[in-house]
Amino acid sequence: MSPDSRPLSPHLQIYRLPLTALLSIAHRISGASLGLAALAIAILFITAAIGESAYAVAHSIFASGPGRVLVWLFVYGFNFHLCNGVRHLVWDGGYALDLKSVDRGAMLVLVVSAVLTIIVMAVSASMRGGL
Amino acid sequence: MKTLRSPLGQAQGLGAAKEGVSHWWVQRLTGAALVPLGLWFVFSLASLTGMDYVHIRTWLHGPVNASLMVLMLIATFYHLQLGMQVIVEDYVHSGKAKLLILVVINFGCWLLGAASILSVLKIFLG
Repeated sequence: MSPDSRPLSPHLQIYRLPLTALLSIAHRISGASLGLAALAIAILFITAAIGESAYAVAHSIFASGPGRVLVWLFVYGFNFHLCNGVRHLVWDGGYALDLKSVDRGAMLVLVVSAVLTIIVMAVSASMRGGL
Repeated sequence: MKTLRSPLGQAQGLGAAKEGVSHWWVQRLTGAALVPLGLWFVFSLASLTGMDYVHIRTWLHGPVNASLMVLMLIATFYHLQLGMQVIVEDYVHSGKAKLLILVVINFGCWLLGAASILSVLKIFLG
């Protein structure tokens, strides 16, 4: 396809996307980011299989300040992708496709994913004495 | 039944691929599997008192933990590969770049999947 330098009218820059549209792109972005999380998990297990010194390097990165923040962001991203994914599966079944249900589903996803993340944080903090 | 596609269209590979449904279905299947598996994984790690070497290896010595972990890794990398494929197909239109990126993603998922699964097995067995 030859590149086209003709101007486009502004669209994403000015249109206020509905909540469901924002969640839709967030679902894609969280999915792609969870690929990085999968890489991190793979590194965790691979270094654990290699030996103690290799694992210590990986562990020090994930246990560092920024490392911990990243891990909790991954946890939230996972919970969000899970909740919105379930919403997709409900739609695939043919349910909740009317506008009201879609909007209610959007709020539900945001609330449940936040609550789930808080629960995981609480469990982890109670077992380790901190985040 | 004779196809309605022109010979040129057939040779150039234009038109529907006709095998997208399996992609769609496996994506849903692995996604559904990842709901319990993923939650189990996140809560299991959160319930450990620490993530140091001894804790991780002890946790993976349990047969239930090891098998669920392997299943989760399979579902994760399969789901990831399918998802990334859709993203690339949506945004990359140059034939060569798309093919290259899709091959790299595919190889990457297989490599990481195999390495992490074998690592879990090694820890479980030894």
